Amino acid sequence: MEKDREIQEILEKYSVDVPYFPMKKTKMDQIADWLFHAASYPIPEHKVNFHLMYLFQVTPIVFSLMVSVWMIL
Amino acid sequence: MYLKELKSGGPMSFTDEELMLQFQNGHVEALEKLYERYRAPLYRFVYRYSQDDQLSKDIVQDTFLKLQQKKYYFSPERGKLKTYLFQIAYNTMVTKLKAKARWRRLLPFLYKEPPVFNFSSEEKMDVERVIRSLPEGQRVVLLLYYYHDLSQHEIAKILNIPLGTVKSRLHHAIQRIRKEWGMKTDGKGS
Repeated sequence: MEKDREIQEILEKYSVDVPYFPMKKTKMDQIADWLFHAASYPIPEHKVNFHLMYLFQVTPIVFSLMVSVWMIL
Repeated sequence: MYLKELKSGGPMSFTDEELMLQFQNGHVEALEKLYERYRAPLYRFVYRYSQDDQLSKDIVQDTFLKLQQKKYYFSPERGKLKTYLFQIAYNTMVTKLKAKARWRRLLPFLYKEPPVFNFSSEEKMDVERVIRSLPEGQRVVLLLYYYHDLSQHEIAKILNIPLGTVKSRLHHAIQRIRKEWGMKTDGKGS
């Protein structure tokens, strides 16, 4: 199957300069990769949404307010 | 003699698969030769897909790290080394981009859009914009087919999708570019 020449000509205008970089990462990069490596997800992804995150953030505040009110009363 | 040729880099020119075989037999120089050959194509592929310089460097380095770790998984009977390398690079890139998108969705205040310093010509920027505007599936097929001379069969293998899907994505990508450039959309297409 032949390539579309017109499209090829258009795409050739997008050249990319490649900077030099070594094959191996530096020690610092390796440590950073290890620190930020994606960990296995404890909660299924489809269940984590904005509302759940909001609940995680608000629950401790509500709980501490309730405890404070209970202590005062 | 064989090793001497490998170290000097010529006049004997080895195929990718021969170099990989030498690397599997313990010649580290062969891996360096492969890195020289594929550093630029892999970087360009990831860069054109993501427009992220640091990510592109990371992916190329990770691809070669994985190649070293899984060097015995490669067998010339199963396919070309070029296909194998692009497959590793693509899978690594998709995993990293998904993780990035997840973090951005959950903690948007921590995510800062990297500054774009673009001093390219207008035409180049137009092509860059059109490529970026393509859906991910169409973009990756177009890049592999037009910039890296991979056949549709090889692309199907890299992306782990049916050949028909590759053809259809390529067709739609071409139609979209034709439309953007004000060309006739009933051209040869794929």
